[in-house]
Amino acid sequence: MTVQLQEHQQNANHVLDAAIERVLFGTVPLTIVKSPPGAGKTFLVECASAVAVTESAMRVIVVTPGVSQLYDVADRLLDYRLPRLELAHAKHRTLPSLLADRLTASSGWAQGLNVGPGVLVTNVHLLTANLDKLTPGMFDLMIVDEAYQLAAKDFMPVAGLAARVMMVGDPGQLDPVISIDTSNLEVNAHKIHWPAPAYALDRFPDTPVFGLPVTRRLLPDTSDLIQASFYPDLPFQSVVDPNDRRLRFAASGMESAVDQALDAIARGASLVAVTVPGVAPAHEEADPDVAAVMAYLADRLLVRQAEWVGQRHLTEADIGCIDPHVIAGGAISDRLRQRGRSDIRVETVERWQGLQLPISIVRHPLSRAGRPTAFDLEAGRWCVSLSRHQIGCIIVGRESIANVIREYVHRCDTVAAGARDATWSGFRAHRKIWNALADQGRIFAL
Amino acid sequence: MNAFDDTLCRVMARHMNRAIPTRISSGLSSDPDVSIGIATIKIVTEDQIQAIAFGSLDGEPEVIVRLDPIGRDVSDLVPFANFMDQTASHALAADGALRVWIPHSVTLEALDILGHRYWQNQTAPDAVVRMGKICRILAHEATFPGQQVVADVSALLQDHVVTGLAPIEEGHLDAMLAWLDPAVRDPLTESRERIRLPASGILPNTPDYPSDDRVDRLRKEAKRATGHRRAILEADIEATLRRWVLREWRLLIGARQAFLGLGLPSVGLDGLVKDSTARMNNALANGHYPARRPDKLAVLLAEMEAGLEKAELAALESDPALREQAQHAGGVVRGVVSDVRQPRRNFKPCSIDVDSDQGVIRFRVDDKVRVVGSNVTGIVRSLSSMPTGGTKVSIEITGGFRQAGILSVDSQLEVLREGYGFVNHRAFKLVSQHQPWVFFGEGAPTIAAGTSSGRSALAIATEVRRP
Repeated sequence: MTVQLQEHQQNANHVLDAAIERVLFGTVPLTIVKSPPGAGKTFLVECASAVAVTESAMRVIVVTPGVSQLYDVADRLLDYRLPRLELAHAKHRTLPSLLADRLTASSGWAQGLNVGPGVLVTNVHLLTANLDKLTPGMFDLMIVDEAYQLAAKDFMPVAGLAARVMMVGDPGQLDPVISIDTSNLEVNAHKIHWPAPAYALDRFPDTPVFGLPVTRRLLPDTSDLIQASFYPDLPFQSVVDPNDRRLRFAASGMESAVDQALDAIARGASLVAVTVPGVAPAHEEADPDVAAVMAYLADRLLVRQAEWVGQRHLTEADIGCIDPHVIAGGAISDRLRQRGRSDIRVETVERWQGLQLPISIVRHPLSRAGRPTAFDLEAGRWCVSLSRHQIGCIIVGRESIANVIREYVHRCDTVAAGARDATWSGFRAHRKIWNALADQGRIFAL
Repeated sequence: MNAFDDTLCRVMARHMNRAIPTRISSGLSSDPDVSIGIATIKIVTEDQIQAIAFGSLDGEPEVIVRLDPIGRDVSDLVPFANFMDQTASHALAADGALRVWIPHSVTLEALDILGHRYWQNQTAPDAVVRMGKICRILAHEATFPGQQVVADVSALLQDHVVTGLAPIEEGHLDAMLAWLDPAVRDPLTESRERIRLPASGILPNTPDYPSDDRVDRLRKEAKRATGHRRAILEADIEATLRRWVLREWRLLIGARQAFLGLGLPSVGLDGLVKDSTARMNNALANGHYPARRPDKLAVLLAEMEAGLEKAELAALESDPALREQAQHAGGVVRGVVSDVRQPRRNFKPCSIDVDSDQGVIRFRVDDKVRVVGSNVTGIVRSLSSMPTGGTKVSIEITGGFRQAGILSVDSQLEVLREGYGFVNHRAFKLVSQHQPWVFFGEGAPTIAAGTSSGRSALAIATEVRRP
């Protein structure tokens, strides 16, 4: 690691120390920690939990918006010698195999939970469902993990359960899912549909906020572009040493754009694009040509025996395909199966949130027929798509993407007056990223 | 419906010269005993109602025309106000069961504005204030997904049929009706002819029907006129407004008959009816109180989300056509039972494997599911790809153990996710009692400082970490 990277790393450690100090020993009951992708949110949760329990004998509760996140946190906390580590989830759930033999889970709320110093990990809906059995202040510290995925309305029932609350989350990613149109709610003094940290800051702007200043996942070229495009208020830098993330192929490529894109990654470009001629078919929910190219890219990575230098040869488990739409993702799965690559995971953006892997292959949401929708342009969705990879991300789409961006005209009535316009910020991010890729010669046309 | 299917249906409708139903069941319950209709004409620039037709749906409506709709005197609204009050009383006597038919969303907007204008207007007659409250209650109820009170017949038709028109043209109710009238031989030509006159609760202002400009001019003249001349001018205004509001009413009645004429059964809507009825009963009895407090807003949002989920599930449960569309997107899984593990027939435990050809399935492990058309419920325990390209779904059965016809190998079934949509009123009652400071406080409280050892958190965590 270079001296400069070490400095960034130390700076990040100082921020982490300061945040935990403030949360555990300060006089303000709420602290917010904003984190870019791969900054070590869960590590912060681990450290805060460990210090709270061992130094202050606190009863800690780690709350997650969804159940899969709570399993991830519990898995990480098992690495610590804590006097008590408990997990509570809904009665109908079964522990994932990763945890099955390592932890006894409580199905629903049980009387003997939260006795003495230790950590309880659960999701917010379980607490809400059992609120009549809980008392305000029964926990000393509540850590809300992935807090930007938790709507304020869902935080409300559990907000008083602990004297101290730390919210940790990524402000650039997908907002909580609210199934109805919330534009009418924007006029209210209480924006209960906003993410919980955003709501708290709206009401109490003086709430202490810490920003984690580094990403340990993204390489510098991706990190710079992602920061500039999605995190104007959260400066961060990559502390990844490119020498630790080198990709090497045993078999050389041919002259196709696909191999050129892969070779570009091997040369150190962690974000590239491959374009397919023409436009996406109208009246189709999947673009078979783009799906085929995505499957071909995944296949070529493995046929050419891609190796994470110093780590391992990549397998199907190291590659993931991201598509905003379920049906289009199904078309990619079909093509992968036809190539005998069924173990390569294909998921929507929502499912990839919070995960990382060496190589991601992403369908560009503007690779579509007709005018892009708010869903296609949404900033958080694009940010998640482009920030899962540790080594390389290959964006795939029609060559018409450039025209779609150039000709897009934003309507001025997409959100209520004064509300944050995620569609507009998403469009600007799309434009910035595509132009940057074009300027840097990272778009490879088939 | 996806864009391709939508376009295909439109081509078919154009070819067959009639509307094509896209659903096999209705999203609207049967009319309750208290069912009324309302049609309005508003001033385009002012959003003020200048004519209202209202009444029961099986007779001629009562009509109010307003000679001075922007004046302060609202006594001309009293007959409508009395009618709304009577309707509310009848609905209350029926525990809140009410249906208000309107031709399109413009009418709802007009009623909402009418409500905002008068529900707290202290200079208006009591009856008009009450009318304002009822209008606000109706407009508020209409915001709940799946609600069963306000029947916007344009929206209902668009949800249940497709015509040979472009989607945007279907916003014109009269044009749409041409595709639902067997007597119209060439609905395309007829509908485009009808589109020349607006069907959006306003006076037409076309070269052959310059009614809006004319009424505007007549009003100005009437203001200056007196005596017999004024009476003639007012009669002219009244006749024009009456003509066009009655046209809106006839559109409403015709469209309602066309919708009911589709003969779509109303099944699976009991929960939605119950929710709507309870909301109306409460609001009509106790008044309209817009949510302001954070816990009330959260309940409102939860009710809306639950309503949407209930409406979607009810539609899926009762409508094979919608299930087929949902199957395409992975929301419904159709398959064959390939294995049943039930040591004692008709008793738990029981688990089954369902083999589906679908590659796209939205189920996740631990999702609660139900078998369509039965009381069989279960929990998804695993999903695995089959070599043939389909998916095997393993389900732990949690209810309906005696359904031997379903829980047997080779039985074909459709599975959909169970709804979680419910509002935890008990939790929000506790919130209201405890009032957490983040939501109810004016500032963050100060808490006692803890005692820090001054050591780095990283160092402490490293010590606690297992080797």
